[in-house]
Formats: sequence, C-alpha cells, structure tokens
Amino acid sequence: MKNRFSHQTRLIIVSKLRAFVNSLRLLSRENADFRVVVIGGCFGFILLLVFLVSFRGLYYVKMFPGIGPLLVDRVLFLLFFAIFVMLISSNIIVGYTTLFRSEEVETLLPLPMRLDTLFCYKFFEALILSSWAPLFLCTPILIAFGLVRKAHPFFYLMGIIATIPLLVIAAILGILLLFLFVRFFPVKKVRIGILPFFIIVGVALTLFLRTPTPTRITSQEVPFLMNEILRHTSFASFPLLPHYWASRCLVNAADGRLGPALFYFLVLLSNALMFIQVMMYIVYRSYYSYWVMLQGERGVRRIAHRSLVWRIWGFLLGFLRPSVKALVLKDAKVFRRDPAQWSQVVIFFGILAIYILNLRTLPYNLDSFLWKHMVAFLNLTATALTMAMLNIRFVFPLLSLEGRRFWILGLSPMGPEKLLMEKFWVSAFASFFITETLVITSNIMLRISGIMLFLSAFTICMMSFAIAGLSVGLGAIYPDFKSDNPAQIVSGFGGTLLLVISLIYVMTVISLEASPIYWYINGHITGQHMLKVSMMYCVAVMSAVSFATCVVPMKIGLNALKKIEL
Amino acid sequence: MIEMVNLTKTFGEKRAVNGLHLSINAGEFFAFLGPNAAGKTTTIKMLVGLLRPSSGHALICGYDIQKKPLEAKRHISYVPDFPHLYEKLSAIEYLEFIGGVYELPKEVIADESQRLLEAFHLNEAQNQLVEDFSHGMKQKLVMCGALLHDPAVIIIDEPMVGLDPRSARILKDILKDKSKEGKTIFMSTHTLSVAEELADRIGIINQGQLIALGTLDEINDLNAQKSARLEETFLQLTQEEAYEEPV
Repeated sequence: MKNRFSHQTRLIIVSKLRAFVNSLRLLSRENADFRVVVIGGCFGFILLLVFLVSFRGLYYVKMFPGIGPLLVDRVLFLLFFAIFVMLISSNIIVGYTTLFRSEEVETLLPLPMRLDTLFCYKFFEALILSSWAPLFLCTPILIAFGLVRKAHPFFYLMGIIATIPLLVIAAILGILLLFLFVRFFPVKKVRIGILPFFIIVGVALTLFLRTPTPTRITSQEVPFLMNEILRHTSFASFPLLPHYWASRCLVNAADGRLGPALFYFLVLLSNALMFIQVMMYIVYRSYYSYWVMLQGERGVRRIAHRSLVWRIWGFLLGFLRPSVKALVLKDAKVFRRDPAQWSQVVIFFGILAIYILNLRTLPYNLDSFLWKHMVAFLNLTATALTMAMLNIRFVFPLLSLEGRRFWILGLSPMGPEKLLMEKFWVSAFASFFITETLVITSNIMLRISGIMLFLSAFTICMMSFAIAGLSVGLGAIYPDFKSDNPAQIVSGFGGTLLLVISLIYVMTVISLEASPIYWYINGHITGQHMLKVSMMYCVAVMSAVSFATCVVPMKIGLNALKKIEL
Repeated sequence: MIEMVNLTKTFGEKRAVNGLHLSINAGEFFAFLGPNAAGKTTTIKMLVGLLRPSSGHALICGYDIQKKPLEAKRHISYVPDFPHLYEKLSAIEYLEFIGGVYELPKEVIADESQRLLEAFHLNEAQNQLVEDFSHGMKQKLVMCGALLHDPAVIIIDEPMVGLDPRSARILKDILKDKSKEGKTIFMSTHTLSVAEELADRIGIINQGQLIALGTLDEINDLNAQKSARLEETFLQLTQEEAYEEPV
C-alpha cells in the first residue's frame, strides 16, 4: 500500500512537472522573450520596492532611542502574525476551490488512486497556491530585517527553513476550518457561509486593535506613541501561537543564539508534524464523504423570473439603449449569482470600511491639522490601491470571460465599441460609487478642510475612470478566451502588465498630489498660504495623466477587439 | 459485472434516480437511453463513485463501489461526457500518466499507447499539447486512455459527441470488439442509431425510473404501433415527460 502511495504521488508530481516544462517550452517557442522580460522585470521591481520600503521603515524604527531594536523585533512578530492569519484565510478559499470544486478531482476519483494520495496532492496544491504570494512578499522584508538587525548568517538559513512548517500549520488550520464549514453549513451556502466568517474576523480584529481610550499625544511625542504601539500589538507575542515560535526562532538566529533558535524551530517543526498527523487521521477520512455531499446535494437553483430587484434595476437603467441595458443587466446578474466574485469585493471593501469607521478611535490626535491630513492622504492611497487590485481581479477578465460565448455578442448588431464602452462605464461607475463613498465618508469623519476634501474626491473620481479604462482596454488587448477562470486569466501577461501599469499610475498620481498637499499643510501651519498655483498645475497634470491612462488603452483595445477572430 | 440494487439518488426533494434494479452480464453491450435530465448521468456517476447513492448500492465485478472503491475502480474505465484533460501535457504524456495510475508496466503503456493512438489516427499528434486539440481529438484521446488498461467494464457517457464519421466508426468497431472479447460496456447515449446498431440490450430511463428493458426487438414490441424503429418507440415511451429539470 505504501509503495502505491509513493508511486502514485511520484506519478502526479512527474505529470505536473512535465506540464510545467511544456508551458516553459511553449513560451520559448512563442518567442515570448519580451513577455518574460516584462514579467520578470515586474517581479524584480516589486521585490526591490518592498525591500527598499521595508529597509527604510525598519531603519527608521530602529533609530528610536531605547526601544528601537525592540520595535524592529515587534515588526517581525506582527509580520508573521499577519502572514499566519492571511494564510489561514487564503487556504480556506483556495482549499475550497482546489479540494471541492476542481474538475481534476472528478477525473481522478474514478481512477484507482488512493484517496490519501489524492487528498495530499490537492492539499499540497492549495498550500502552494495560497502561500507563494505571501512568501514572495515576505522574502525582501526578511532580508531588510536581517540587514537592519545586522543579523548572523544563520538568520537567513533559518528564514528559509522556519517558514516552511509555519506555512504547513497555517494551511492545515485553514483546511480544518474549511471542513468544519462544509460539515456544518447547508451545502449551497458554503461559500456564503465563509463570507460571514471573514466579516466576523475583520470586525474582531478591528475591535481587538482599536484603543480603548484614545490617547491624546502630539506629534513630538513619537517615542511615546511607539510605546503605545508596543502595548497594543502585544497580542503578536502570544507564546502559544505558531507565528510566535517562527518569530522567536528568527530573532534568536539574528542574534546568533543558535541553541534557542533551533529550539523554537523544533517546536514549530514538531507541531507541524503533529498537525499533519491530525489532518491525515481526521480530515482526509471525511474528504470523500464531503466531496460527494457537495456534488450530490447541490439541488436545483430556481431564479425568480423578473424579480422585483431586477425590475427596479431595469427601470433605473431605462435611459440606456435596450441592447446596452441588456448587456449591463446580464453582467450584473452573472456577478450577483457568483458568490466567488462578489464575496471578494465585499471582503476587500468591507475591511476598508471597517477601518474607516474606526478612524476616530486611533491613538493619535485628530485635532492635529497635520495628522488629520496625513491620515486622509493615506486613506486615499489605500482606497486607490484597493480599487486598482479589484479592477485587475474583476474588470480585466470581463471580456475574456465572454470567452466561448463571444460569438453571441460578436453576431449581435451592437458592435465592439458599444461592448467595450459598456464594460468601461459599468466598471467605472461601480468603482466610482464605492471609492467616492469611502473617501468622502472618511474625510468628513476626519473633518479635513474643504479644499482637501474636494481634492481627494476629485482625485479618486479621476482614478476610478482611469483605472477602469486601463483595465478594460488591456483586457481587450490581451484576452484569454480559453479559460473560464478569472484568476487564471489575470495571472497571464496582460494581467501582470496591468498590475505594473496600475501601480505606476497610482504612485504617479499620489506623488503628484503629495507635493501640493505638503505645501498646503505647511502653509496652514506657518500661516503662509501659498502654492495654490502649483496645486492647480498638479491637478492639471494629474488630469492629463489620468485621461491618457484611460483613453490610450481603450483606443488600442478597441482596435484589437475589431480584429479578433474566434 | 455491473449490478445495481435499488439504486436511488435524491437531490433535495427531487428524486433523480428512483430504485434502479439492473444487472449487466460480462460481455454484454448495454445502451442506456433516456431524455434529457432523465437520470442517466446521475446513474453513471453513482456507478463510478462520483456520487454516493441515497439508498441502494452498485457492484462492479462483485465489488461495492462505495465499500471497496479501489478494487472496483481497477476494473472500470469511465469516459465522461465532458472530460477534463491535462491541457499542458502532450497526448503521449497523458497516456503515460493514465497507464501509471493503473500501474501498467512501461512496455505495455508504450505499446498499447501506440496501438490506440494509431487506431484513432492520433499518432501524428501524440507530441502535441492537449490544449491544441479539437474537441473530437480530445474525445478520442480520452477513449485511448479509457482502453489503455484493458478494463473489464467500460462506462461511457455520450461517446459520439464531437467525433467525425470515421472516428465514430472506429470507436464503434473497437467497442464491438471489446464486447466480443467479453468486456462489459455500459453506454449512455442520445444517438439512438448507435444503440440500435451496437447494443445487446437497451434500458430506457425516464424521470429516474427504468421504464423499458430488453433487446432491441423486445423494446420495439412495447410500441403500440408495432413500429420497427427505436426512435418512435423511444418517443412514445417517453412522451409523458412534461417538464425537464437539470440534474
């Protein structure tokens, strides 16, 4: 039996490796050097950026007299805590798709393949899919930490080794939670059941992180603020959590204390092995039962014909031409009826909304003109980045997702212009309403000045339209009609290019805005109101950049769409 | 070789398959017919272990598919109506994978793969990636994979979809030969002419229940107009069907 387990495992691994090598060969045969360079360059750029920001930030923190080194270590604990929580969450979502919704399982199950082999393979796939990105971003931060701490070389070795059992524990916890969801939620509601879980976790974390008594301090009392941060982040040092063992291991390794570092590593490793045993003895035994339960009890979904909600939408969209209205309603219904799509939007913007609603409890002096405007500016950046990510995830694949149904639209008398413009307006207005609400609400709560409120609202409005145009345009230039999976469509060349251009665009606009805001704040504090002209210049340049970011890809995308042959 | 005892599957309140009793012997070519959403695919999925029966059980070569899944699966080949393939593997790599899962010796995998690829006229495309295959080519490749380990029981869901006339002829000949060799074939299809041409016995399922079972002549005898054509008999037997629900 053991031999068959290893034989089948080897077989799957060999097949997956072959598929990977074939993909690489295909890439080289397609003369995709440019794509490889662009994607490689993007990844390199992101790694470098994360490293530089982390290094500067950690170095700045380390310079605080007295508590600097302590704070640097706390950052490591917080980093591992965040990764740990993030990995548990992503393993729930990815595990659900990989273990229960994958077509591959349906192909492999009728084969005489051992169930533990199949389960381990799918678990491993979920682990890799959910872990690579956090690991990718974590690497430059750990290197920056090592350099700032002037760490012992042993630190870098342990940095690689100690994270593996941490990833395994997080993945198993995620899978355990997933199995609990599948077990206790009504079958059709598993995905919907996961959503309240994330909302509860989000609210719990927000309540946990908020300060019970807002502390009134001035900006000069930064060390005191740091002390407050240490106090309020002490949860990250809870010694019974696996991320604590990983952090302790690395802190000891950085200091060259090899014995304690090894001790914490072994604690982590033994727990990982114990979790594997738990998973194999408890979870995998239920796998087949739960899998057939999810397949077999899905039932028949009945949709009320012309329900009141859609009739209201139809009425509201009455000003559109019938063909465009039909397309908008079709997109809205498809989105609404796929929890995998809308739940992610709710999670992303939900977390942002919870944060904004908690603004007034943060431990800084909200009466300070400087802090209020600083926070408003950072909120704007966070909202813009979230919006960019969601556009990449949802708007870019819109045209590709028409996929094999594209002939329906292709044969319709509406033409590619209308199709492209429909995708653009729907995406732009959806982004506009959500982001504008968040930005204006947070700014009103912060009671920032009228001119700043207007500037933020104007900026996020421009960004909504620019990023929607960019996403729809690139989606038309680089469509992938073969795939029905949005995540797979986004992971291609077009998606990567969009990621980079979006980031560059957001950073450009934010940088352009930073300067007048700085002078505005400075002018307010010093009493010398100046540089209104420069603010106007910046707004003009921002508008021009946004216009170009929107229109140029849309134009090229339209031409590409006209030439598409299916 | 295939034994279904009171096989039942319910989805919520809907009874997709209702107390199916059916026994198919070794070497028998059985055609399973029925209108859309009659319960054909649900039955097949229960036979191969992709669905668990709400009650009753299915035996393959004497093994209960739920209680002894590995033993039962070793004797089955299943070809779904819309097969999932590893798009980034070449045809020959796919067959090597399937052969490996069934633990066939390497020489057997190599020889049988070549024989089947040639039989289905895929030998020139054996090093192409599956993603570049047409739908019909994919169907043929799945058939190659299904026949590779010389299974005792072949369960096929809509095998002729997407096949050109020559490939369809080849498949029919191969299945007929397999049946003569003593292999059991359970084929679900809407192509009534194929059932007429190949099947030793025909079963018609409607709204989850087996409404007719027998040889072609026995089935046609059920036709009130004593018509000799299966199509008319089928339409008459299933005409009461009022509403279809996807299953």
